[in-house]
Amino acid sequence: MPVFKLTSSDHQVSVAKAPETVCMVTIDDLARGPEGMSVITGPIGLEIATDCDLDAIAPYIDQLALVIIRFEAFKDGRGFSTARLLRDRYGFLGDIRAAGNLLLDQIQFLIRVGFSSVEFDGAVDEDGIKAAIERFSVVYQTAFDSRRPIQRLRQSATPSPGP
Amino acid sequence: MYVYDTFDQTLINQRVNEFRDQVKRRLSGELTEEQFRPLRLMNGLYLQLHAYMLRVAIPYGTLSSEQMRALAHVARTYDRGYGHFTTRQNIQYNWIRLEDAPDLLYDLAAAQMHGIQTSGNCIRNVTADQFAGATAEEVDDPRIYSELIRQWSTLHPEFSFLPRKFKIAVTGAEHDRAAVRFHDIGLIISRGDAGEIGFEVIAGGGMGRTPVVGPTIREFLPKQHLQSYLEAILRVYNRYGRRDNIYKARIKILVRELGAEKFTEEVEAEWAAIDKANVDHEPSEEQRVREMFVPPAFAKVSGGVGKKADQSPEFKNWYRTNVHAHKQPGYGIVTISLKPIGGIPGDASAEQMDLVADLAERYSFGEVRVTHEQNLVLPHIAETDLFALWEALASADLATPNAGLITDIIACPGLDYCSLANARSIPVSQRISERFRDLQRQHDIGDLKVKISGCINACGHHHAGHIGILGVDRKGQEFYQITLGGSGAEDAAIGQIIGPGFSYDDIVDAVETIVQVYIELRQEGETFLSFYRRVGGEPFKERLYARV
Repeated sequence: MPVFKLTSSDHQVSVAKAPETVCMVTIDDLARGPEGMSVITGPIGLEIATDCDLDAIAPYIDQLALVIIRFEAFKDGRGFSTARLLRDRYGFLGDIRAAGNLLLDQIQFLIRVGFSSVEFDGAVDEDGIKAAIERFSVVYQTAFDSRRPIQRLRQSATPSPGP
Repeated sequence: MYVYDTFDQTLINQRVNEFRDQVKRRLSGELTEEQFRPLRLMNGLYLQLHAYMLRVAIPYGTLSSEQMRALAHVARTYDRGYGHFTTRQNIQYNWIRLEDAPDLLYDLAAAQMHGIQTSGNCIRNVTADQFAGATAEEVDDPRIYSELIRQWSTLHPEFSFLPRKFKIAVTGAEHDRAAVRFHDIGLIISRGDAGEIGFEVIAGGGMGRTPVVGPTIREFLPKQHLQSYLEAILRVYNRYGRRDNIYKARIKILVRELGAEKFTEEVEAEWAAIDKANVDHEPSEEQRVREMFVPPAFAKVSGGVGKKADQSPEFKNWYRTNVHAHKQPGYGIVTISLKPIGGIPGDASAEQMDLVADLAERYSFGEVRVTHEQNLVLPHIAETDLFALWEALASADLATPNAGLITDIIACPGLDYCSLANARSIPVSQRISERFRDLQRQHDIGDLKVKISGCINACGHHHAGHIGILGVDRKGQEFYQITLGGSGAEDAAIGQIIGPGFSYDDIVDAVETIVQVYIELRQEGETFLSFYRRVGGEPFKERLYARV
């Protein structure tokens, strides 16, 4: 299935099919260190489960260009917290991809918690993704993305009344 | 009352559009039922025994007159002319067509209402004390914080696919009418050492097949950190709550398996790492919400209920149980019983809803509340209006004088509607109500909460009933297990099973026997609950299971 890159800038998310240039490695490869991966020259990526213990991969995070979080079931919401923590707590700046059994209707949530690319199991096209992303123009919470929550928009919309 | 601004309204409108599109995709076959299921659930649409059921959110049980009229409109247009108020302070319509659901939600959106997160494995509609802003006992108004929670939890990107449903309740009063210790998170508004406002935080309470009185995990949380602390609890739950077994997936199981202390440590560690300034509400937002809940412009009322009222024994009976003290002198809080003798608990017709809307407009500053005991409340009634109000309510069978009495029964929809039920609940409730219809006898029995669930999922809160009744299926026959001594109030307790169950035919006699034992053996002034707590189950067992 095609991978869609979700690029955020200026509160807008653009969608494009991404060329696959990352070489996937395992946690064992990473543990063996540089000699274990001597044949690899380009950027590397790691696939993890939704319930991955992030402390276990923390030492290698700087080497990774991509982390794929694999959803066996769209109902498995752990992947949302895992992505959020990878960004907020571990400071991962590379690509985080949601892959597997996902619903188009989850796309905005995925972006909001820090995913930057997506690979659906089912057939989904670029237009469908764009439409789902644009479904909601306002949000209530602060998340990883740069969208301003409604309460902050209110502050700029109306001058705050005096005490 | 909270009123949407354009931001709130935009989100609700966009949600309706999204759901319309989802229904279209389902009807065309693009979405399978399995894929559609979580999407419809998060808009309140269940598939029941006979039809779709739609549950409409009534945030913290607060409605305006216009909103009540919108509910009447839905009952009339899309259902069979009535609706069913639930133990979650919501309303359910039991006869909805899938094709109609988008239009129904479109109509509701015009009245600032929706079905968002009234089902599904997400943070459900927040509930609160139905006397909020009207009772003198409260530290601060729980509606303010409930509204902040409503906003924070609506379409939360991280917590919309939790292990299981998640319910938050808030009270600001000493007397707990919101059953906070039976929720996934319960918040009791309290004051800190310097008089500042915050919350006692309870987590891991619940009913269902594993009833738990939730432990306090934080004695005091300053109010400005409401969202970040909730986020910490939810993140720990989302990551570590069990997903392998639907019956062990609620947060209460996680709290129990980890132990409250270890669970608290996890939450506190998570909270310490959260960027609080980013997650918590702006003081200006709290202020904006608070201004929408300022007390209405009460009049100076004198003269009491009036001469006509004083001379009406029927009015006085109603006043005795259905009017509660108000913080404003000269005013009362009125409970409208949706438990007419022999009726279906929580049901209201479109005409009754319209009438309540009119009366709220005329007498209660346009405000209505829904209680978790499936009644309605008019929160601000001048004493001098009580008699006229009572007469109007009585004309529509809405003045049953039984709030808090044995016929004020909570019952789930049971086998008459629900696909999960093992036994009927509504007819049992109707028969108990008929049996104890005599008002003098009801007053003699006093405070007695009977709660009936048609299956172990406990939607009728039987664990928290002074007398709890649980319907079970035994070899294809309905049987009813009785528990005694439960309470959902500040003295929260789980009822204890008294012994073998009773058949559908015998259950009402069993309740009668229990009441008899209490009447005969109680001490002066002793309520049923305190009697049970003093004597335990033995005297009841002896009589219930005596060999004839």
